Amino acid sequence: MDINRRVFIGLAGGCAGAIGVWGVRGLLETLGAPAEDRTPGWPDLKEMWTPSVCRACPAGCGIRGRTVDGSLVRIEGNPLHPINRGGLCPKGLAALQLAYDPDRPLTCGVRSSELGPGRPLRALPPDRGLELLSGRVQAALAARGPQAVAIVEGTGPSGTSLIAHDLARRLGLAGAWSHDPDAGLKLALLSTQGVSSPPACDIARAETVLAFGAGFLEEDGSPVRRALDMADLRSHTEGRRPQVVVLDPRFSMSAARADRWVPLRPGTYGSLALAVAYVVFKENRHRAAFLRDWSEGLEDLVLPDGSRAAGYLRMVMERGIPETVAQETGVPVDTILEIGKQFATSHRAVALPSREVTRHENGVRDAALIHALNALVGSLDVPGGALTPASAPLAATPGDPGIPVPGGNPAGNAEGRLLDIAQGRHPVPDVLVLVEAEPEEWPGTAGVWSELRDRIPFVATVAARPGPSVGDADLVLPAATYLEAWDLWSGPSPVGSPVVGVECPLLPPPGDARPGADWLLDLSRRLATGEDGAPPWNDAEEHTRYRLRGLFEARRGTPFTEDLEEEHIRHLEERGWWVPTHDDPESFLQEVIARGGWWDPYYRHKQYGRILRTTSGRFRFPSESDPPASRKAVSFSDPREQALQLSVFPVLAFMGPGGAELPWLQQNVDLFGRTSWQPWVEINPRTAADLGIDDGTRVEVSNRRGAFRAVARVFEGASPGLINVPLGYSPSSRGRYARGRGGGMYSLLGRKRDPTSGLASMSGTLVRVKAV
Amino acid sequence: MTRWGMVIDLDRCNGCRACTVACMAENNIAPTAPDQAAMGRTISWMEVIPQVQGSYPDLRARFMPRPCFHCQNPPCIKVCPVKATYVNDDGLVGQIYTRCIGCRYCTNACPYAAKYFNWFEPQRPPGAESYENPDVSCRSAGVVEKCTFCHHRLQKAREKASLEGRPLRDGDYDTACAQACPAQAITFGDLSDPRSRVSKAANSNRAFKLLEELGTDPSVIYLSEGPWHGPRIAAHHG
Repeated sequence: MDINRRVFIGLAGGCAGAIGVWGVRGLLETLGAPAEDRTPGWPDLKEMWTPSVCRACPAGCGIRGRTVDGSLVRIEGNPLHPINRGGLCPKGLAALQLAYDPDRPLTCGVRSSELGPGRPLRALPPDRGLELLSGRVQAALAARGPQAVAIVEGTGPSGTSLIAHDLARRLGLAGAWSHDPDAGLKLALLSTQGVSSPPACDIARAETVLAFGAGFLEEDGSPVRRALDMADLRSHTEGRRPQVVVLDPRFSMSAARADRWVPLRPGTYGSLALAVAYVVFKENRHRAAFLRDWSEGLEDLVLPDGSRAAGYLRMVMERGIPETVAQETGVPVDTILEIGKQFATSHRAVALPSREVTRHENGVRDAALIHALNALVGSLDVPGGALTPASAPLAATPGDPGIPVPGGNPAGNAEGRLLDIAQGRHPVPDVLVLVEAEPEEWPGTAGVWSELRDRIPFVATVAARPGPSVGDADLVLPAATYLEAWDLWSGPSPVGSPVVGVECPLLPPPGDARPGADWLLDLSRRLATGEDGAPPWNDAEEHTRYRLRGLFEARRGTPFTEDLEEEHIRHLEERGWWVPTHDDPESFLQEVIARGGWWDPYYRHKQYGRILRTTSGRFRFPSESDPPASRKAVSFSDPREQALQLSVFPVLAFMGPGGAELPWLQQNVDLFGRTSWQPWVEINPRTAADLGIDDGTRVEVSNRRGAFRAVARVFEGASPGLINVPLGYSPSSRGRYARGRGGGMYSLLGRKRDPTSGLASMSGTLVRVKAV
Repeated sequence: MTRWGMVIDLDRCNGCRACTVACMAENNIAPTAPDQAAMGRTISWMEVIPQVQGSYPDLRARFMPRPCFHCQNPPCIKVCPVKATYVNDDGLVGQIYTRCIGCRYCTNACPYAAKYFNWFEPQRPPGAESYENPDVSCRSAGVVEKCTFCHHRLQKAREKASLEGRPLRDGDYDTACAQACPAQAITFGDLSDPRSRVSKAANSNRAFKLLEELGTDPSVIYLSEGPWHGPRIAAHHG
């Protein structure tokens, strides 16, 4: 080879990458250098790819981790996973920084008041920590019974959640309290269909999508899957182009990709849903056959005391009049009629209630009214409509029959229960065990946690990240991140079919950290009374494998596989056939683990027997006998007071816990591109001009409950009279990249709660804004 | 002769920045400190440029991922005094960090603002040495860096194909951003192969090239339904 300068430079540049892969030893070998000339001590780099599940948010996308010489150097999407199909959002990609966070807790420690002010953490061996905790739990139970102990878990629809609930049951508690962002949506379906699941809206096959509230691309279900569905809708080239309408106070990422954005006042979604129903009835587009055969609640109800409550039909006709709703929501009458007619006349229309709908005073009720639209036009459990996710056939807990559903009872959600304690409606426990849960970061409990914490004698936290609880818990048990533990993931799937992702450890947990499941199982064994008291699993891996055996015994579905094979399996199951892929459970488990999980590709539509589990077996339309529908919106600006209404919105980067602790996410948090490393607020240009605030001005947002500071962004996508504030900033995080970078907006929220879910309302809060 | 290129479908892109973060993770891009970010010095080899048009409530928005365009007639190589940047046989515009003297002529010459200068030594978070990609060298203060179309992946793909005794196939070599995109908005491959996915995508009637009139002949092609007025891509970083 004729080596000139250009070739030399090219080789040198190429070698820079090659050396990284092979190591110098490998390079020397390639160039023919004898072994004895190789520099001793250079490692032979061993590369491995391992499938697992992302738990950066409740979606549970499939991932693959690349480790080189024991270090995790890349996370990418698992192309076989049916939900994300190889794609991955910024949170999942940035999780490398989660595993190597310099501030994550790695040492088991205890705090004692005897150690003086500031309550420093004193290291102690993990076994001593568990001994201390089990002693406290036993003493509390002996003194006051089950009400003395509470377990709060924030692990999502995981195997660890099942173990937490199992532990609670063994201790005689009513259950663990799960932090569940979908609690409101689940309760909405519980009231209408008798099933505890959020709806899985099949937007990929819909003709018209009415998305109420922010964030089907930012937070609901699976943002990755929704991104793919939306992209496919946009690429639709045959026939009538599907239309997506987003109804939200803010021009969100979802609104930006939709065909139409309709701003409305925060918290008025239910009213708008009634107006759409009004148009459907007026246009005579309701599905009479479905309503006759599969629904109830349209007619007025006679209550036990003899009084009458308006049924759904009368409620719609009296309260859904477009002119009235226009006054309440701020949406023009013409717009209401247009979207109502569009929804009514579409062949396949679906109304999508988001989590944000449930985050205000009558949110569960409003979500039920929105979901009722799907039943009204016959879009329940049909292609392009609202599907009801099926539970995966995981193996049941011994002695507790029934399909285990991770996540617990939405009515017993953690945020609601802690608020009950703060407001004196529930006894204060003597021992509180937090399992990957940070109440100080939840909107409803952030403002009350500090005071509540001081009333609980002993708080133990099992924490993988440097959240606020690590800073003030009495006992810290460091947990492995999801990248370092065995677990399974089986949440309500956005595709309707049951999906189980298998989480495999990509690297070992450092220091004293153990999988959260292992801490709980160890605690459970220490607290066991009698031979049957101990859990039947020794560790997280054993528990995961145990649950997965249920999939083999269910004799349906398949380990994740490629498109063609999926289609083949779907084709067979549709015709009542199923071909087993493995003869024995062990080889089946190996395949499931090797591919990242299992699912059943065939979703059986119109299974009303499965999806309608009310007492009557019918869809129950909301009526006036339920908790009240949307109250009149708070006047959302008061020029005399110069008060604006606070409107919170989710951001994709911070949707799951701990996003603000990761530098790559801090840098890419504002999708409209202008702010990084600090919180911001968005103000409409006219409103900003009225207040004398320019773009980039530092402002203080305050009311009588508190204040926080942020940079103001003048944004056309903000509705007049509102101030949009992003969720996810935590002022109490112990991570160096989140600490001191804003937050504190939750303390400004009022104390109103949804009467069904118990979740705090995030609408109706008035604030003042001034430049500082 | 291969010509590696990319087609980005703006009608599919939702601006989520998965491509940006995937690129950061793949190419060992250190996070930019807050004070430097405030000065517009954030290094994003794959930057997503939002554009919002209209006024409340009649708005529309679009997000434009912008990597290096690997032009076939790149202005940057013409101004480099030390030949630290060049077009290689694969049609990729390379950047040789060890030759770069940091004059920033190329940064200023690039009409797409795709080149970034390291004003300071990159401040990597503690622990970053554990998760850095061993296939990609880290840059230091005083040199310019930019998107490489994940050239290191091409080397690995070629090695794998060679070991398996077959030619390189469409899909063997993919960039980190294309692989990560949840909306499958980015297609990458050999533009000179008419059978490749990227060639077929580039033949769309929605295709256009940014600032094509400058004669740079970029290897990144955008797809968009509506008229594209294009944001002014000013050199907003130092």
